[in-house]
Amino acid sequence: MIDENYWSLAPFLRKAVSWINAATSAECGCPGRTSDDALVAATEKKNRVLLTNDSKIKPAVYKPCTHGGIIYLQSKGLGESSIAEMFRLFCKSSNTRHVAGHLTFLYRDHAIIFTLSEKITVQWHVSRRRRTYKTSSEPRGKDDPIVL
Amino acid sequence: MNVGDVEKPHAHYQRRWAGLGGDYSEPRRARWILPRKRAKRKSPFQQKVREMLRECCALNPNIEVDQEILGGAPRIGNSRVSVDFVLDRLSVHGSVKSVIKRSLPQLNQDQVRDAIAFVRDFLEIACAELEANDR
Repeated sequence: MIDENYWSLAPFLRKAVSWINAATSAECGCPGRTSDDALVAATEKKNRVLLTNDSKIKPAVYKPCTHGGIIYLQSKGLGESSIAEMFRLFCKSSNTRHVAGHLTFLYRDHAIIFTLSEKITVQWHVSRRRRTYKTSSEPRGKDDPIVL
Repeated sequence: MNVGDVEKPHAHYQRRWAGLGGDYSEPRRARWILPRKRAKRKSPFQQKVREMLRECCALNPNIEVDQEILGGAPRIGNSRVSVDFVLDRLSVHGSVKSVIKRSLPQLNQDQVRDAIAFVRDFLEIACAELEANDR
């Protein structure tokens, strides 16, 4: 479920990752001016993951396993096609299974997934010849931005 | 419980703590049992910023601030598009027209211009505050 900021990203995402079912929040019954609580609650009801920007929807409030899952896109200074490419590379990393119900911070060259007990970091590097991924996980610590 | 059974005033809270399905929606007969939630105090800086945001909102009626939407960040009225996101898109695409065409087709030119005006007003007020403090 794509938040209103990224509605224009929907066709790019459908094109970049054919196997995901990208829908805007309006298509999921959450038109503009829906509150954060209602939007996050809708992710669980509709069995979808929310794609939003920055962390205006506060990660400390919406803790892992209390919703369908939230992906925070850190897209400052990136165009739509670059964001879609960033998303495609993350989807190819086979770590999307961790996304549901958890908090994911998606950056240009890496992603951090906060589950209840673990912090999973996925890094990718793309060169002309090949694409490489490096995944590491560590137990959640006190320095995490999300305090349980 | 059957009709006529006498229950202790705080029994439903105890059931709740024991995981037996007590319900807070029952009338609060023993309020003292629950720890009172203290309202978080806002720092003077937070209060000042909130005041400034309110002033800017009064100057630009198309911009709204609501704690329940986007965590209280200023946003364009009747939408969930934050002002800073509009500026970010503007820095990427370069012009108001292309922002609307490529990123935010649900907005119109006036709304984007209002977002820019909001930031300009906010900066003006903030700078005026700084000057006043320096004196």
